[in-house]
Formats: sequence, C-alpha cells, structure tokens
Amino acid sequence: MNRPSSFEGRLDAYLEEGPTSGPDDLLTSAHARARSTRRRPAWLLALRGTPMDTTWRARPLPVGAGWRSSCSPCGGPGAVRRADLTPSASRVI
Amino acid sequence: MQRDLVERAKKGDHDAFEALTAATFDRLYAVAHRILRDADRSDDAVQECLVRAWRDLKGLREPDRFDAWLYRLLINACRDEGRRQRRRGPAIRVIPLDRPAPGDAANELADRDQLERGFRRLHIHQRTVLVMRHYQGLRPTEITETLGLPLGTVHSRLHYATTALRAVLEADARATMVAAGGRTA
Repeated sequence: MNRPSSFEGRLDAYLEEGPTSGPDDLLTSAHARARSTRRRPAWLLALRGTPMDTTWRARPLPVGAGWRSSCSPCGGPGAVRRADLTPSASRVI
Repeated sequence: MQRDLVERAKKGDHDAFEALTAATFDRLYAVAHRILRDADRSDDAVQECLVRAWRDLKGLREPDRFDAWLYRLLINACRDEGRRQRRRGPAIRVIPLDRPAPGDAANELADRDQLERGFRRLHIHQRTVLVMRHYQGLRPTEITETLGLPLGTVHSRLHYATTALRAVLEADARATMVAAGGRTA
C-alpha cells in the first residue's frame, strides 16, 4: 500500500481510520435518557447565548419574558437566573 | 420527511426524535471519535449531545437546519469532554512493540503513531476544525455555519491547527533522528 506523501494526504488518511458506526447500546441508552429528560421551555431557550461565545450578549426578549422578569425581581418563576445567561450548548438557529 | 420528523419531535413526539437521531447517530459517533480519540469519551459526548438535543429542541427555529444544529451540540459536548479530560490529566496508553514490523508496514505504523501523538496535542477547537475539514470534507463556509463562528475565525483555526500539527510532527521527526544518531555514534 502506498503512503500518501503530502501532509494533507497523510492527515486525510489518518482521519479516515477509526469507527464509522457507534455501538447500538449507546443509541438505546441515549434515547432512554432523553425520554426521562425534561425539556426546556422555549422562552428560556430564546434567552440563551450562542454556544461558542465566551461572553454573554444581550438578546431581544421574547414577548412576555420582560413582564415575567419585572414581576419577579427576587427570583420568582419568571426571574432569569445568572446561570441561565451563560453560554449554552443549544443556540437557537 | 426530515422536516416533518423535526416538527413532530419539537412537539414532544419521542418516536419522531428517535427516528431522526438514529439516522445520524453513526455519523455523529464517527466525528466524536475522531475529535476525542477515545471510545469512552466519544460515547459520553454522543449521549450528552442527544440528550441536549431532546431537551432544547423546542428552541430550534429552522427545522431544515436540524443536522447543523445537532453537529453543533456534538461539538460542544466534545469540547466539554475535552475540558474534563484536561482536568483528569492525559490518558496515556503505552502500546508495546515486541518486534519491528517489516519495511513499509513499519514506516506506516511509525507515521500513524506520529500523527496520533501530534493530533492529541492539539486543542479540541483545533481538532474540531481539522476533522470537519479533512474528514467531513466541509468547506470553511460550511464549518462557519455549523460552529456559528465568523469565517475569519474558522480560517485562523484551520491555519493554526495545521501549523501546530506540522510543528509537532517536525519536532518528533527531529527527536527521532537525534535518538537514531545517538545510537549509531
């Protein structure tokens, strides 16, 4: 077998190696975990930042979120916790 | 078809979500494994990605971009796994070589080993762009869309990743030559 001589060719060949499919039990257990996971409300997801950001940026609030925040300044059901304003893995696209 | 499944999954249909993710599962796993270079961590990253996908699917505004969104979740899960790995320290596995493989096979093995060491020394961000470019065959503009990064950042990460990997490989080759020279002297 001929080895690719260029750097790019070597890298391509190296990355081509490895598994091309995942274990079946992994998919089953991931689905089982998903079934027991509570979903986040859409208004909360709309507040979250982009996943690759390292800084938080203000985003337009969805209708009603401002009212909820202003009605519960001390942490009522509509209050936005600090942790919710950190970069998220689930940017809305 | 996929759009319909995404819409149903967004409304809470587990079966639709499972059909959607089963279709992309193998590709997700292959990408995670190439970034993390570890089966257990790839398992964790893919599982985390799928759970986050279910948890946050309501926030996906464009169902047609489900795949790109899912890959972004996977990349973030890989990044989190990478952080955990750094905190725990590197998992170094020593592979015993009882006898040298003959001729070309030995060179191939050494070449692959060199790349493996070099690749593992790269930051997760750098590995990610290399995998997306060289394994998935995505163009920088497509990487931009998936990662949500500016095009300049993607180009820069690709450039620095390639430079860093080349540097590691060259340093490795020099060290091998010095060691070989020491033995023959």
